Amino acid sequence: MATTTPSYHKTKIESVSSGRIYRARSFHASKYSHFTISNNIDSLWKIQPALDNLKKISLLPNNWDSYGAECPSTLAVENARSFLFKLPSYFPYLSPHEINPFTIVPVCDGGIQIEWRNQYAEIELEVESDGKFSYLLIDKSQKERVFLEKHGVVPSDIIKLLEKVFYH
Amino acid sequence: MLETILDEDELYRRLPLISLNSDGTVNSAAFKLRGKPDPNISVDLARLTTPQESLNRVVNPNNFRLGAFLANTPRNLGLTVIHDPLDDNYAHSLIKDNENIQNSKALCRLLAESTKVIFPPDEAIAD
Repeated sequence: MATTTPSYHKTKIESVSSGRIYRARSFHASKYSHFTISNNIDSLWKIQPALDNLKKISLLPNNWDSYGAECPSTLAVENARSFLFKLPSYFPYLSPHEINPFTIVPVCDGGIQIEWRNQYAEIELEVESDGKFSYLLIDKSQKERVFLEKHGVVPSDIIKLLEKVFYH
Repeated sequence: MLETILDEDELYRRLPLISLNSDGTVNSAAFKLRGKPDPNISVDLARLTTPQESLNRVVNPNNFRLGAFLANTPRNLGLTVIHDPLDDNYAHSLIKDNENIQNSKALCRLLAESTKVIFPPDEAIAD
């Protein structure tokens, strides 16, 4: 399946698998100010477990936590799904084990939280009920953990963050 | 009459299974609201209830676990813990003052890491 890429971006052949040629952008997502990468449907299988989890969460009713939680908002679910769709294209060399989140959980106000963990760092990405993104980065590469959090970020910021974590 | 909650008092928080990590630990999302700590986190004061009673306050307790932590955990993070009895739940208490705290996501994470899933016991789940 051909991948449409912005004209200013050079694509290269990353690998040949199952008789298909995978075109993917290079790792330099940080060069791009807009999050405009197209999906490579052929590689979405890599994130199928995450998509399945998200689907399950999207079906939660109100008060799923017994304390009056709202069901996940359509905007949060769609933005979370859209973000997950883009990961295989941005990180074509990563295995499903590496690229799939450690967990995806609902937040009681209708948001979605997606987390990645490895030995160096952990990222809690929150897609809030209004569709906005925020994150907590836990840097474990030093003697003591360092916490850094940001609100009102855009998906490309998260991609840059994931690049640092995945390719530490 | 309001109870005085001591630092060493244990607090219970119901945790839906979907909010637990695959390794059985508690996810920070269990304490969040709009990207920040929930300004009023409902808990039960353990000495005024039992784990079973606390869990039975939901329609489908099989879909929940009970998490516990000491009152000094949120207090050490700068939060306030007060007894807030309800008509149908005298043990009900609140963790408050969460709205203007810096590093709020980190706070939720630390609170989650301090919460241990205590009920039902593993053998009961296995049965």
